[in-house]
Amino acid sequence: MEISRKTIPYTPVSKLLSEMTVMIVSTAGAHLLAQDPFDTSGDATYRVIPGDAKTSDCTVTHGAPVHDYNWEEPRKDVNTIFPLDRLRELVTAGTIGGLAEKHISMMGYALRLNEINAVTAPAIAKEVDRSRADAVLLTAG
Amino acid sequence: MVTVQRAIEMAGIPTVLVTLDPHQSGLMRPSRAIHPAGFEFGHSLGQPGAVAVQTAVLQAAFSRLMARGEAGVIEEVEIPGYVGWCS
Repeated sequence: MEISRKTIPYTPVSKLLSEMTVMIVSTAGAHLLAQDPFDTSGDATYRVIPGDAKTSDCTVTHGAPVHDYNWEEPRKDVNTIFPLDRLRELVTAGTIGGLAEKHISMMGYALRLNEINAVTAPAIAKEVDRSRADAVLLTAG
Repeated sequence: MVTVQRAIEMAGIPTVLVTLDPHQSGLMRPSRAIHPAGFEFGHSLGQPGAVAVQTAVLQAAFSRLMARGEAGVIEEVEIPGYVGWCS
């Protein structure tokens, strides 16, 4: 469904934070070392990161100039843009209810905006909907 | 990123965005968003290994998620202990 940009889609929260399963959706270029890296010349695809992924098995590939987005920093600790470990700690502390079974990552400096708007964003929304996550944390690098 | 956020909100799932570019994100009027003041690109949650800083950003994001704030407004948050990579 197409809606005006003047309209802000807004879904009210219906659960306590401590009961919510949280999913990460990021455009900061994180992926597993075992996955294909993003094409830094332009890439509208996304990667599914399993909920039990180890952060030591993650890296970042991104087409932005390093002075615009210093992707060398999240290569040292992916939690700087894709905070799996921090969210796990918040689950243990009882702050949030759980971590989703999967998370979504793409490369924001994709240079293919029409394809992202028409194809990638709706596909990610479907992935989120199927995941039964209660809330999504979005990070952009 | 706000394009993706809008699509997820339209699917009926609440979201909160951590943005380091409030000007650009603001043009798209995100449903809920925070801006950790002074953070540099590559450090959405904080610098590498800074557990307390990263956790504080998450707590600020979840506070924004749960609050009845105005949609389309980016909340600027001050997070102590942040050290940028330019520093």
